[in-house]
Amino acid sequence: MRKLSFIGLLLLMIGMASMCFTPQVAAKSDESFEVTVGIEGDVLSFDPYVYDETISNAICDHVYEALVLTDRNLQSVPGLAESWEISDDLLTWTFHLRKDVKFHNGNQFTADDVIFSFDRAKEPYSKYSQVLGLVKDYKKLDDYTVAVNFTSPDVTFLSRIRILSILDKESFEGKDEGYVALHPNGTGKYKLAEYVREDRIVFTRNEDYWGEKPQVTKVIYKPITNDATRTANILSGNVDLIVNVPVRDVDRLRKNPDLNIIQQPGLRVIYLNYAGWTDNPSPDTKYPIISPKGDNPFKSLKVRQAMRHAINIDEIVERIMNGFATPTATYCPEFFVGYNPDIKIPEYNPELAKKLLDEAGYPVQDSGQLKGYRFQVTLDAPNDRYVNDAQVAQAIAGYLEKVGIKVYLNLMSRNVFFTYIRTSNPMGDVTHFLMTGWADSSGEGVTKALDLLYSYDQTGPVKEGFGDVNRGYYKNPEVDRLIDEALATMDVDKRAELVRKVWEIAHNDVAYIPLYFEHDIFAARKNIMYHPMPNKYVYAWDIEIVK
Amino acid sequence: MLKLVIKRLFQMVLVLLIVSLIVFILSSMIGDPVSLMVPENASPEEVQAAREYLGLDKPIHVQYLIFMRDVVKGNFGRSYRYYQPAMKVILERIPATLEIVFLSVLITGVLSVLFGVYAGAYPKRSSSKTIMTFSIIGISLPSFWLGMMMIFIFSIYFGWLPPSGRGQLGTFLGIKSSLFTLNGLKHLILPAITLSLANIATLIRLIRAGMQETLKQDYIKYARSKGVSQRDVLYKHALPNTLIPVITIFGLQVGELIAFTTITETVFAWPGIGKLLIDSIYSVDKPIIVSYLMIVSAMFVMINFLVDITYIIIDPRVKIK
Repeated sequence: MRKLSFIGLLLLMIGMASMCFTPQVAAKSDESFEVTVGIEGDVLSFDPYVYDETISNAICDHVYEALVLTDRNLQSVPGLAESWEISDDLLTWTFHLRKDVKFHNGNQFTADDVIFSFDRAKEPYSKYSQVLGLVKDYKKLDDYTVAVNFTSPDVTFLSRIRILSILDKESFEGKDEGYVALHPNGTGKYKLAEYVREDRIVFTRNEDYWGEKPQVTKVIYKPITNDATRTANILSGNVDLIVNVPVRDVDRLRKNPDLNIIQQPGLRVIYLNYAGWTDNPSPDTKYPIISPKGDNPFKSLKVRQAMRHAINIDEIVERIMNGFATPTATYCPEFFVGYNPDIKIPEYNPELAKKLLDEAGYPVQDSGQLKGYRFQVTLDAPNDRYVNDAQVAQAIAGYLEKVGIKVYLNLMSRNVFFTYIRTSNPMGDVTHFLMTGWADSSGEGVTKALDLLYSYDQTGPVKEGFGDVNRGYYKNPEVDRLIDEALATMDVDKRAELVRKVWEIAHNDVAYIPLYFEHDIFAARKNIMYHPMPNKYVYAWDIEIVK
Repeated sequence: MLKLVIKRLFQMVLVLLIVSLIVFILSSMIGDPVSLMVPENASPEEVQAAREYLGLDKPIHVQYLIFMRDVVKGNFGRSYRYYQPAMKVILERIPATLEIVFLSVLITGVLSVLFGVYAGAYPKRSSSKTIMTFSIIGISLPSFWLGMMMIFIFSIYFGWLPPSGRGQLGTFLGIKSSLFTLNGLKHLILPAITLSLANIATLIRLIRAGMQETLKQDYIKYARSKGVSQRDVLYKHALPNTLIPVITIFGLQVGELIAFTTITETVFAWPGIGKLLIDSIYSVDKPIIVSYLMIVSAMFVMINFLVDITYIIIDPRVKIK
């Protein structure tokens, strides 16, 4: 027993002695600006092509860059391409590449790297094949010039090419995406210094960067998925900035004299879609529409108008979102090209809603399974994807029931929900009414319109690559025509006018019911200035330390 | 003894086969990983291409056979989410979890024995009653809430300890771990205590009950009359006889600690395998889920085996057939 405790004591002393030799944190020099940021999740991969999601894109953007970069109004500015020309027929774009750029490992950036990256975008694991959707071919004209030829004009090409990072051909040719993920090598403002999954991502400034160097020399991103823990971190001073502050903590953080709250409307719009342009809605569903005449009530314009008047959006924003949302009359964010300011949110008027429903031929039934109601629908919604999504869906169901529409609420976890509403769902076509969200950071209204409003048939796309998020099978040939024309209009003002008309027609058709734009809320220590990107991408160069 | 080892090994393989089959089938039902990996506006062709790339277009029994064939070669599949070999991802994260588990086991072992023996030897004292009250609190309160309360008190209010995350790594005898630095220990304390509370509470009650039983025995009276010191009576004579049920439960607790630290790791932003598991379930990362659960099953079998061996050491009367 004595021997054992003696050995134990000895081991303990050796252990403590070894601790004294662990390296101390280096003293900060006056030149260094270090900041620690608490983000809501870890990067999924350092290969910029395998994921197209907010956190991974933002982290990869520290290391990698594209031909064109995005400014804070989501407009395109020169990046690795310093200038470009577009032919008169809009079918050929010629990019002139920057000449003094090096990758982090010292390799020179040339047109070969651009061609390699374009080729890679089309690989099966890449999420960016759509970027080159309308591209016929591309070729290297010389070491610093690349020409891209199109099958038909793509006036929004800049907003698409800017999400395609350029990789170094020499480092990555012939390597698989596992390798690329482990050996990041880009032209960006920061180099990856350390990465421990789910613990920290450490970037140090690229001192050989070709452009203006940001102030922050070292940034440590800490993935903290639990909201309360993230708040605890900023309160205890463990981090300097946190993203996505939960609404319930805002007041508390505001009262703290060491902290600032930064809040702005984001890009994610929450909305309702319904299958209003088909006689056979959701044929494979277990919970079909029940209407007295057996028809599809969403087909009636008056029914859709009634639903809009039945929902009290101000109450939802105030009570459920605690004021951290902006009600909207359209899918389009205010600063996008083609925003229509003349479209107003229809007033909350349940009496008018009831009148419209009566006029549409759906009176309240007084017998049978629909007794007390006009018809029954199923609302599909996620319960863990968007801020307070389950509560908002419940509120919607409540408002509709008040005007006589019976709602069967079908809430699902996100990994089930997004399969459920997809057009290629293995279970078939199962949804006729859903609540979901969509965020687009192109800066172009026409891009949103072509994803959300372009005609899409129950059997498949009317035009390949168009209407992929049009979940109600909305069809309007006039809208299609306007979108097609806008896509071929290079002039920004003319394009904006066409897109404004699209929103107006969709509004009059009640093609969808938009609810609100979520707000982005950040909290920072008083000595930190943060200018957030509207698309929730957290960039170290938007952070400034004020001494 | 050798026969025992072989028999147990065979049992382990059988358990692993059954577990792999069940987990494989069940994880095919919880969602479609392909939908989460392709952009929302992907066309049906793109979704199909992604499905084929992952090998998910084949019927389920074919997928299972391919998986088992690869397992025999040592390849547990490639994570859908991280595009790295599943086993590599899991093994990378295990050290972090083992750290908090190790510290928790240490705390649990020491504290539960001290308090349990005390409460069992002197059950009428008010201090014993206080211990038992705390034990009820420890069992009743949810661990994540206790964890958050501790963050609030020790990190935000007092500012003594960091609120979350893993600390700096140090090296000792060639092993890298945050147990070996002061900064690392500061980060380890709160999550380790959070993990321990419920277990300490359970074990205190178990040891106390056992001690009360044992101390009534005749040989204890005989030892006291012989003049054996109180401390030796309690720890050398009484305690070992109460330990058999305690070790059984303890073994199960250790297994659970290693496999399911999910909530504590999420609250404390700890980069361990518990968090990996919940993230993989959310994104239906089948290779990780299946590999993880197979490792965990193997581990439980191993722990139970060790528990049985410990019986033999503690109690010379026990013979394993």
